[in-house]
Amino acid sequence: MKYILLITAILMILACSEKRNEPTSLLSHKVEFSDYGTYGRTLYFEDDSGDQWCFYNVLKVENPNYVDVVYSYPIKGSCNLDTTLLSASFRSLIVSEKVDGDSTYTLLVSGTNVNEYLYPSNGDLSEDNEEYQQYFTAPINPFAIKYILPRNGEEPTTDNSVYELKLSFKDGFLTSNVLPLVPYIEGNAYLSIMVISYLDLLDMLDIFYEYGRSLPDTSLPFPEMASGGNDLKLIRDQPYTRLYPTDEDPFVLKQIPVVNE
Amino acid sequence: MLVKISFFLLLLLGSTISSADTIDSDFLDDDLPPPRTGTSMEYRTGVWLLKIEDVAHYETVSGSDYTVTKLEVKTTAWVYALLKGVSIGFEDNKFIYDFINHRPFSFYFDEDLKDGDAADIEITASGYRLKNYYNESSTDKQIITGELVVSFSDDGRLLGYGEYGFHPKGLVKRFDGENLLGHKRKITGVKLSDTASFDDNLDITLNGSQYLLSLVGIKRVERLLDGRTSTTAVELIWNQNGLDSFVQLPRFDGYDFSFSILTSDDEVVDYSLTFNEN
Repeated sequence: MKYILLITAILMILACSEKRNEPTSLLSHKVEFSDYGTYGRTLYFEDDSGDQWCFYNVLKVENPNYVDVVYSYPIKGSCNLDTTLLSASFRSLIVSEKVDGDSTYTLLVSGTNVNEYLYPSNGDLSEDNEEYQQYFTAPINPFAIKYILPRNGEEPTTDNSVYELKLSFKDGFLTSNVLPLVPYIEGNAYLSIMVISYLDLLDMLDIFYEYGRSLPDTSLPFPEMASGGNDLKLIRDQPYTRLYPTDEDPFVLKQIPVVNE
Repeated sequence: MLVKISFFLLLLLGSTISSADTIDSDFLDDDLPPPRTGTSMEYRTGVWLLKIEDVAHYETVSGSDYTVTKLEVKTTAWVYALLKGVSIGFEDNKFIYDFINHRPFSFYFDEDLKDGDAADIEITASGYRLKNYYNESSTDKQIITGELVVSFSDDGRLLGYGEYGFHPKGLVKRFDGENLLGHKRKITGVKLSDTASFDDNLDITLNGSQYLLSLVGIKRVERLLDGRTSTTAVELIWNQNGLDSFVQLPRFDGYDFSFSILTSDDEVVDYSLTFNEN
């Protein structure tokens, strides 16, 4: 009997130690969300002078590996595609996903790769589009936009964070807690003076970083440094409409309904 | 800062020479030599010879049937590593260091780039502790994913254990990506020099000249795919560019380390890392 107890105890200890040695993981391969697609919306904000700005925001959830969030540079006044837009695409890896309720999902995402690209007016990437070609060859600081991303006092890396991305479908529209960058840049007065294009915004952030000024507190991969609670709610409630991208035009900004504020 | 780190890593990565099946690496399984005579443990800082044994587990999930491929990576390394003090000032053209509140060892193995960022070092009476974490944005909490505990003894030895779980940095891609699930590390070490590599010290030389030590040594990496040994490679760890191939295999002679390489310009260069007599 003593030996049976001893063997049982040893087995229990081994079982416990083996269990302890198994890596615990956030990572899950269970796929819950399946309504893959590309979604877009326009968003507005006002600077301190009361001037209105608009930009395009695209959310692409097309596979169980990653999501892409695209922001165009802000346009003074109403959104339009009369000009060539510089846009930034943020890619975040999906770590796990779960169902939160009827047509509501939470994707745990992490890590952000930033790709800048130019969206030509009317989707015209040809050499005939001189405006697009002019911007396309212009030097762009590839690091600048990353300076939007770090949390205070940390290096501009984003893969040390996870973020709960909420996706909810209702009446054919998608709402999400994807937050836009621009309204959260510290001090709209600064924006109103300095920013006349997204390139200016990038340059401005570069200076922020170089001179050691603290950057806006961002919880990544999407900024969460909301300066105004009401504005934040408004943006979260602003629905996305479904877009139908093509091989030639994966972001189809022209399909996004322009809602004038 | 990031650029500097990236540049350093680029140098490091560019300098590892894979030389599978040509190097007798059996000595890596031996115990380390004793601590070098004359070293002191008044401060822990200085040059250490470390033996590092790491076992990492990776997993790839692919296909619609969720086929799982498991990879175990066993790394055994002998490296010279510097335990640095913290620079707290600069006077008379010299840095002033706090040797009690030292910095942790840095390793730069593959798994170190994937197991997360480390929080501030915790100096304890017996050693130090280093916790890795990630930020949970929704709750603004830091979640601990791993921990290394290093203990020092008065006779110039150290013993460290690290255990790390999954961290978002270890995620390559949820499907069809080789993701690091976690790894365990054992470190043993003996002290070789109290002050080598600091400004006014010639304890350690490279080819007869004073040498500012960075991580240098040799490692053997065994990759076992689904439990079967698939590859074994032995690599030099050396923070120099332009090294193409060995013409004389790395060897230890007491505490000294030497090897010869053939550069891309077909030039044979001998390297000898030597510890001077106390």
